[in-house]
This record gives sequence, structure tokens and C-alpha cells, in this order.
Amino acid sequence: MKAADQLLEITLRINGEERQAKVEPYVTLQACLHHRLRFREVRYGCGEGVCGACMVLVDGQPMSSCLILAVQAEGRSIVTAEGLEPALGDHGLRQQLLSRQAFQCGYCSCGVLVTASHHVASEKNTTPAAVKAALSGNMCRCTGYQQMMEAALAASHQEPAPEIPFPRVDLQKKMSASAGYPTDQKVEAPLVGRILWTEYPSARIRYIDTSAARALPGVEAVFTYQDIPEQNCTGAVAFGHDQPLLAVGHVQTMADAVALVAARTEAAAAEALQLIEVSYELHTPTIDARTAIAPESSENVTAQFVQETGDVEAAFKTADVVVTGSYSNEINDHACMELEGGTAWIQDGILNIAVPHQTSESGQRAVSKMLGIPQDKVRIITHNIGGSFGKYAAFTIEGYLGLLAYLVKKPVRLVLGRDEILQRRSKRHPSYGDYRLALTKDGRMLALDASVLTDAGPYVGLTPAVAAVIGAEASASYEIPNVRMRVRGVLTNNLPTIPMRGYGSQQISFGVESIVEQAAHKLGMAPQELRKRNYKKTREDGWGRPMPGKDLWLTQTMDRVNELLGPPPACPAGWLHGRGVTTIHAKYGYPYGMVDRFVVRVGFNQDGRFRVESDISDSGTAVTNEMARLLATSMGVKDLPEYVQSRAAIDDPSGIAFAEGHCPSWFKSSLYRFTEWVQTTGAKGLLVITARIKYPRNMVRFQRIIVHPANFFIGLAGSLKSWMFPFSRESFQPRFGSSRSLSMCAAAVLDGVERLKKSVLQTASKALGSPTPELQMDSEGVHVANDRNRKLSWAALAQHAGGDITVVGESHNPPGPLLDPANGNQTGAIDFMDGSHGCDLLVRPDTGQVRILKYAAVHDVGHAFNPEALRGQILGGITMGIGQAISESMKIQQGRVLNAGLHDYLVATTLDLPEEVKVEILESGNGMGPYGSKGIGESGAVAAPIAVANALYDALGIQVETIPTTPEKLAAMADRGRTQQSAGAS
Amino acid sequence: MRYIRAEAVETAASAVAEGALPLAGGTILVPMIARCERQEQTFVDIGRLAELSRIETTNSSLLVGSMVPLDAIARTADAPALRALIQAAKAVGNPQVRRAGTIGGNVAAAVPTTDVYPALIALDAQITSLRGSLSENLPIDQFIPQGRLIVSIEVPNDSEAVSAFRKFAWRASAGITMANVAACLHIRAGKILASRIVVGGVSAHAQRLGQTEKLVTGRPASEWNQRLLQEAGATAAQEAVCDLPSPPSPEYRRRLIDAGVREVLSEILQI
Repeated sequence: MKAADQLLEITLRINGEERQAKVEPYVTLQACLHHRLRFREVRYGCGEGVCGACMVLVDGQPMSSCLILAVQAEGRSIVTAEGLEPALGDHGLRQQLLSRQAFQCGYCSCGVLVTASHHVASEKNTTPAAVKAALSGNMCRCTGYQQMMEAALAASHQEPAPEIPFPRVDLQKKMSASAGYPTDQKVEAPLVGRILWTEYPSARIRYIDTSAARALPGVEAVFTYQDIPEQNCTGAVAFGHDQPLLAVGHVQTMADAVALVAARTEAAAAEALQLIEVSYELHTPTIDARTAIAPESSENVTAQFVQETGDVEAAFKTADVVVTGSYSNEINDHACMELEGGTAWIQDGILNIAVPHQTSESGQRAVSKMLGIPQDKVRIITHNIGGSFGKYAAFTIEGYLGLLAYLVKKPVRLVLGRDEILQRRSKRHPSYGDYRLALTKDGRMLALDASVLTDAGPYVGLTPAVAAVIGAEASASYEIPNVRMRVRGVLTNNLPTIPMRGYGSQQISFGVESIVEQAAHKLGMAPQELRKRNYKKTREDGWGRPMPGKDLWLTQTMDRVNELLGPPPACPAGWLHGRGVTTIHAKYGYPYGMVDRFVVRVGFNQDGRFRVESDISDSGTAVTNEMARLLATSMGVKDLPEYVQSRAAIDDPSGIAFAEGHCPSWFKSSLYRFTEWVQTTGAKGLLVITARIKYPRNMVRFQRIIVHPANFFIGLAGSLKSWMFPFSRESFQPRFGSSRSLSMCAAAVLDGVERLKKSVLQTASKALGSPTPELQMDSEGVHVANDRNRKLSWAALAQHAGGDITVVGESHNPPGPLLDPANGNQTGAIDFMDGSHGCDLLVRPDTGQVRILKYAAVHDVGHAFNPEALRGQILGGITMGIGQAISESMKIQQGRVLNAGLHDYLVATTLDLPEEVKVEILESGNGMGPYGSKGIGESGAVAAPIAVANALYDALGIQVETIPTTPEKLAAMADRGRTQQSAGAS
Repeated sequence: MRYIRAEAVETAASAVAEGALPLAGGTILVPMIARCERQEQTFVDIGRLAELSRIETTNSSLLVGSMVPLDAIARTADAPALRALIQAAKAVGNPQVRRAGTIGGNVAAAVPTTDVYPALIALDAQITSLRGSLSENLPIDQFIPQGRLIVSIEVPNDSEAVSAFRKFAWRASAGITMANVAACLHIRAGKILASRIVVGGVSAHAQRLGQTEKLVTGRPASEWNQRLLQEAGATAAQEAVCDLPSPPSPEYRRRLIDAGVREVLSEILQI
């Protein structure tokens, strides 16, 4: 019997109410609850009971609803996260989680609520170990468990929840059914979209036969590249349009899509994929970046960064000690808890696409170009995102969804399976570096010589930006007078790449910190001592020039880490103890050679309600909430303003509609597009040319001829655009994201607040008949300074102004030349996140198992806007970083990823956490953000793998050369360590 | 796919005899079903059969219905003879997988990385199953799941037996097994009368390690020291067949077997 033939009627008791549903037998309880019965709080993460996002109580027991068929649950009592308090009683857990800001993207929150509520309700006065065990089936990728465990413990012990100044409205929503994630089904009964991926990483396609699939009942459409109306392109288009949406003639990576299917049921879609016949002629894939290029050739090189300061060779000749090493990072998956996908539908002639996206305007533009329809006929809807970490910095599956819904003219839902995400989608840039460090015998660093290859996959993507970060951060935290750096992005047949938490920084920091660590071992010097002797003392600008009066607090972070770690712990028999420390100095403000600008609209309406609007979506960094909070505190109002994702900012990048409230004229929008085209095309062309120039002889000569005038013209176009469109979104893609979000957003809000205050006082002055210096603002509105009775409320002020009072605020990173004329490199970062991490761990030499005992992280954040959210960012980075040091390895054979799910891609769980984690925040005020603040989001993930790797080196006597490592590799290293020791002893 | 909900053990058994797959805790089958990978298959839901969910303790054995969840087994009262099973049940998956996954499902699924099955072999468990209306009682390592509905598993609880289990996984929670070791020793008056030592997760089937058992049996418990433990570990590592193609390497799996055998024997013999 075919699946479609059987439809069963079931009755469930959900949150105390009887509900009926008709389901196919293969529909899981999760799918039935989420899609059919609209219990949106029951979310899908892994489909195999590993991640806990779909947890519900079934007859009182916390269960994964993805492991139960809906028909199996017939007659059972189900409680979702929304029904917990009535079912289990209110033990205060929800408030504890909220006020401890235990979540960021919040996708895991409802599952955590179910598990933790059950634990708190059934275990009075629970213990930390019991909480850890109870939550070990709930995965969180952002915040890293610590705060949720503290919340459960406090709720169980009936402690009061900590006070927070404003409620985290965003978290309240995420902890309920009303979050609105992109994979929530947005319309009734959409078609099921599926992608047919290539079977080989490198092959010519002889033919594609879709006739059998098209003839299958239940199949609405099957598309190949021939059906794409206009531009067949996807991916990050900042530096090239080389990634096809659907493969034409050949495939170059396992990430290439060959065909698209839309069907009425999951079963029909799955069967249709089987029936599409593709004939391949196989080629040998290039899978190793190190052998893909010849030493001095530019073949397969897609990005290049070269730099030499001082006289490196001379320094190496005079050095007392020279250490060399090769260090590499393998690929990581972002493993966002929410799957990649969404829904597309046409409404009122507009193609709506709900997908996760960090830069929705770039997605909108890509779809309009692909379909050949105006940009205002495409709308990307993206509010909350269940994790991003850079994955959605440039693109997601909007192209596939857009094509399906546009051609079929029916709503389509396309959500990739966890296996497809792991095996087919872009990853962190794997990198291979050779390092040489020269020092004096008293530990002064003289010279660093490094050559790094980074594997782009077959398409350029954002590789030039990543290569530039790797190059620009080569000297890391240290004052090194002579540095030679060469970074190349290499094309291979591996998976394509996209930035990931700490992109570029993690790769180069691991390399440099590893060679420094090796030097400390060779000199017999304490690693923290060697570091402290060489720290940079003052802040530098984007071009490496010191900024006087802006001292860095690197020494303070390291000293504090050592204090927090304290004396070494006892080491049980059969284990080896190791301690590792590291310091990072990683970018967060990165201009991509152009002005990075952020605009925000702030104001209030006739009801006196404040709001803040911008185009950014919430991927969990708390930034949308912080903007609202900052507006409230700066204006002195009591209620938290509403955050609105403004369509005007997304639909009209010129900023006219956003700032002035009307659409730009045809002429003005064309002018905007033209100047933008001059900028981006010029920039792209330049970067491609400079990447291809032969190294090193012809480099400098060509650079000067090309780069000087190009910089001038691109810069001129930029200045013109800024002058004509002061509130445009001017930046090279990806314009938004990374750790600079809050420093940019906060600055824009504060700029808006200044203008808003001016505007308010002008209106009040007219209405009250007093000059502005005599007026005062308070939480209710404006009054005359010496007469409190002559006052106007916010609502009255808005009415006097004829409606709302709103203004636009902006912030921008400083502009500079796109490329450095001396060497053709992209200009570097303009501000850095500083911090030190350290850990004590145990490793078993016979099995390679690792236990992290104690972890300490101290960050200089400049200024902390929300210390608890900040702590969550650092904890989340540590948790992810630990995974990337010792467990998150991809099993790859011939360009194919074998890891097919979260059971196999080893994201850290509560049981992998250090037994004790201490996070401290220092506020030097030396950042470039408002109040001297800095970014933070990525830095924890940059530092953590290095601290762990250095501790393993200390324990085993052999250095970790590749992260992530595995227990198997560690066991082999332990053997080598023993052999070395006995050789040394004899 | 076709779904049948069984209301009686007999109807479930006859459906299974006719080719239906029993659907128990769903931890292995439901992900496949949801991906529409088994569209031609009939599944018989045995989740409502109270007779299969009983757990009974007698003086000489533990009788576990096939639908008893691993979580319930993990919470069974500790007894030296049953320890390997309890430890194995605790080592499976994560809390929700242990609540859903059943002992019968674990045996029937026969995946190479199962933890409970090697423990049951070490404990010399007997399995009762129905082949249509025909009841069969077999030692667990002779059982073939095809066409049979598991009714119950009986684990001897001998006062002379002491057992232990170790698992090495890719991750502490919900980690796939790289190797596991289960051992059960019968000790009377300081003499090791018999031993059953089993490794799993390294080959398609769990294996008893005959040479290691021989080495262990016959030596007085009091003679055991670190050197003997090392000899037992090395023997086990050498005799085990490690031929799963997926990572980690066979060499590393042997290291884990070595460590696992040393650990379980050390726990049992209290060295």
C-alpha cells in the first residue's frame, strides 16, 4: 500500500485539551504538533532524538516528539512548553531562565523548558551534577548551557530570580509558540520542495532525465538549470558570480544542486528524487588545497594577501632561537539548531520568502536577478533566526525556494534535512599554515614568517575577506617588528565555504598562538610569561598605526586568568594533567574596504509608545533587544520600546524611504544603483586581479599601477554616494553581522537619540511657548524647568508634531582605501576584541579521552551594556570552541562528508562542559563603540580551542597541530610523547 | 508504509511472522520512517501491549519484558550479577532516548554499536520470542530477530556472579559507541569458576573473547594484579576482530578494548 493511501485519525490530549488530527502514518508527533496543530513551540532540530528541540511531556515524561509517530501517540496526554505551568505548577523556572538570559537565538528554549521543568518539578533541591545529566539531551549552540543550568538549580532551590532592568521581550517570545522562526510553516498546505544533489564532487553531466519524476502522481514540478528564467547564480556574490544555483554541464562539489522537485507530499517528493536520472562522467576531484597549487603559480588561487614589514630574513639570522611549525584547522559546520529552510509564497504579486538570513537585501537582490523580476516584487522575511554564526551572512536557500514558488505559482516549503546541511552546505574555511618565529633567548619576539593556505571550495565566496583577516591578524597580540605573511585562498572540489564564528581569526590565532606556545616550551619559559613580554601595548588603527592614549589590557586579562585558575589540581592515576593559556586579539570592526554604515529609526507615536526600527533580524545576539533598551535608558522612559524590523530599510537600500518616508524616484534609485555598481564592480575586479598576480616579483609593480587609481575612483564613487544618500546601506557585503553588531547598532541608536531629543525640544518649545533651554525631559515627556505643571506627555508631543516623531540615526566605521597601494591587500580590521583564556584538563594516554576540569576566561570588552547577555556570548563561544578543539571533526572521504546527523557531528553537550567555568569581564573603555565598547560575539570561540590545544600540549608533551583533534589522535600523540621522553632520559 | 496497532501479543506476532516490523520505542525506526525510507514496509505498533512492559525480579533472575524502556532498566536495584546490564542501559544515548528505547528494540535492531546486547551476552541472558504462534526460548546470542516478536529477556541473577560494562563513545551524551566491553565472572571462595567477556561496537556482531576468558578463568581472584590485568587487556585487544569500515581505526579500537577489559576486570575483582 502506498503512503498516500493510508490516512489515520487520531485524538491527542494536548495541554489539557482534546485535539483531533488526520495524519499519514509516517508523520511524527513533532510534525503533527508543529505543522498540523500549530504548536509552534515544538521545534525540529535533528530528527533523531539527539538535540531535544522537540521535547514534550508524553504522559508526564519528557520525550523527543521526533522519535514518536503521531499515530503511536493516540490517546496520550501531551504537554508542550506552553502548557508546562498549568501541568507541573509554577516553580519559577521560566522567570529564572529569562532573567539569567539563558538563551540567545532561543530555538532550543522550549525543549529546554520541558526537560528542565520536569526535572525541577520532580527533584526538590537538585544538585549541579543532576541538572547536568538531566539536560544532557538538550543541545544549545549559542549560550552554552551554563546559565540554563544555573536557572534550573535556582528554581529547584526556590531562590528568587535575579533582577533585570528591562524584560527580555525577545526571549519571552522565543520561549513560546509566537517566536516566528523561518522554518515555521507560514501558509496552509504548502508543497514540499526537495533538492537533488550531485552524487560526485567532480564530474561532467552527460544528461538529466526528469520525465519519470515528472510523471509521478503527486509531483507538481521538476526543474533543472534550463528552467531558471535569468541569472543562474547563488552564493556570496561579493567577489564573484561563480556559484550556480543549479548545475550546468558539470558539478564541482558535493554541494552542487542538479534539480529541484515540488510535490504534494513528503513521500512523493522523496520518490521523485529517486526517479530523476542523471548521467555523470567522473573526474578526479581536487581535494587537498596543499597540492592544488604550485609554489609560485597563481593557478587555483582565488585570493591573496601578502605583506612584509621590517627585514624578516635579517631578523632570523640574528635570532637566538627559531621555532617552526605547521598548524591547520579542519572544517566545521555551523550546526545551527534550526534547520536551513523556509517557505515561499506569492501574495498580491509579491514573492514572499521566509528564510533565515543575515543580509536579507542581498537575498532579495539575488532572487530578483535570478527570476528577472524587479527587486520590489521579492520580499525576504526574516525575523528570528535559530542560529547563524555566519552561516547566513551572505545567502541561504532563498534561490531554490524563490524559483519553485515563482514557477509553480503555489506556496512551497523547502527545509533541508540535517544530513543535507552537514553534507551539502558551506563550512568554515579549512586552513593550513606554516609558521616560523624568531626570538631572542630572553623571549623577545623578533620576526614571524607565515604562509597560510585556506581552502575556498570551488567558488570564491567570501574567501578574499577571510584571507584578508588571516593576513591582517598575523602578529596577533604581539609586538613583532618583522613580519612576513602570505595567505592564499585555494580552489578545490571540497565543500564551499562561508564565514563562521571567529572567521579567519580562529585560523590565524590557532597558528600564531601554537608557534608561540612551542617557543615557550623551547625556551623553558612559562607560556604566560613569554606572552606578557611581547604584548602590544597600545591600540592600533586599521592601518597598524598606534593610537596614543589607548592602552590595551592584554596583560590584565592574562594575569586575571592565572589568578582564576589558581594552583594546579590533583591528577588521578592513569591520567595526565595539562594547563593551557592563550590570548587573542581578534577583529570585530571590519570595513571590507568601504564605509560600513548602520542606520536606525527611533521615535514614538501618538500613544506615547517608543519604538526602534532597523533592517536587521535577530540571530540571537540580543542586539534587537539591546537597541530598544538603550533607547529606553537614554530617553529615560520606563517601558521597553518595541523593536520593528523595517521593510523600508530592506526594500530601499538608498535609505530614502527609510529616512523620508517616501519611495525614491526612478531617477534617484537608478543613480543609487549605478554608483553602487561602480563601487562593487570596481572592488570585485580589483580583488580578483590582485589575487591572480604572480607572487612576488610582479606584485608590487602591478599593484601600484592598478591600485592607486582604482582606490581613488572607488573612493570617489563612495563619497558621492554618501553625499547623495546619507542614510543608505553603504557597505561591501556582508554588510552586517559579526561581532560588530552591537557597537554599530548602539552608536546608531545614540546618534538617533541626540536627534530625537532635539526634535522633541523643538516641538515642545513651539507648543509650550518656552525657549528650548528652559525645557526639561523626564520619563513622561517634557516640562518647563521651573514649572512642572506646564508639561507635554510623549503622546501629546507626537500629536503636536502631527503624528509620530521619528528620526534616523546612523553609525559608520571609518572609511579608508579599499586596497593597500603597497601590496594590494584589503585593508585590515579597525578594532579588536581582547581576552585571555586558560584551562586545566586531564587526558588519558591510553584512550585519548579528555576531561576539562576548570576553565577561566577574561575579556576586556571596553564597556558592558548587558553583562549577563555578554557572559552568555562568552560561555557559548567557549562551549563551541571546546567542541571545535576536541570533538567537532568532519569525517571526509574523497570530498564527501560522512557525518549525517547530530549523533555524528559532535556538538558539545552539558556533559562535555568543564567542571567549573569562570568568566570575568573587564571594562577598559578603549573600544571604538559607544562608551568605549567593543564586540564580543566571536572571541570566545576564537580563544577556546587554542586554550584546550595548549593544555593538551602541556599534558602530552606533543603539540596539537590540527584542530579539531580526536581521542584517537590524542592517544597516538601520547605514545609519541612517551617515546620522546624515554629517548630523552636514556 | 502501513501502520497496524496491535491490541494483543498474538496478533502482533502473526503480523511480524508475515513480514511486518515491530515498532517499539521508535528510536531507530521512526527517523527512517519520517524520511520516507521505508515506504513499502508494514509496521506493527507494540507499544500498547502491557504484557511486554513487565519487569519482574526473582531470587535467581531478572525477567524483562521486551517493551521495558532502558531508563527503567538503568534504575533497577543494583545487584553484582546485573551490573553490566544496568551500566549498559545507562550508557545508551541521552535521557530521552533511554526513556523511549526498549530492551527488545535494542536486541532486534542488531546495529553493530548497540550497548545492551553485548551486556546481555556476557550475562548469559535467555530470550523468549514468538514466531507466529510458536514460542521459542534461546540463549540470546543464538537469537535471530527476523520474523520473531521478542516477548521477554531473562537475565540470571546468580549470587556468585559479578559483572561490569564499559563504553567508549565519540561523545559522552548521545555518542556512537567506538567500542564496549562487558564481562561477567562467577567467583566462589576466591576462585574464578567461569567468565564471559564480550566486546561490541567493533564489528558487525558482538564477540565473546575465548582466549581472554580462558586466561581469566582458573586464576584465583586474589592473584590478580596490574600485570595480569594488562595481560588480559592485551590478549583481548589481540583476539578481537575489529573490521568496521567507519572511523576510528581498528588499531585504536583495539586500544579501547584493552582499556575496557582492564577496567571491567579491575572493577569486578576490585584491584
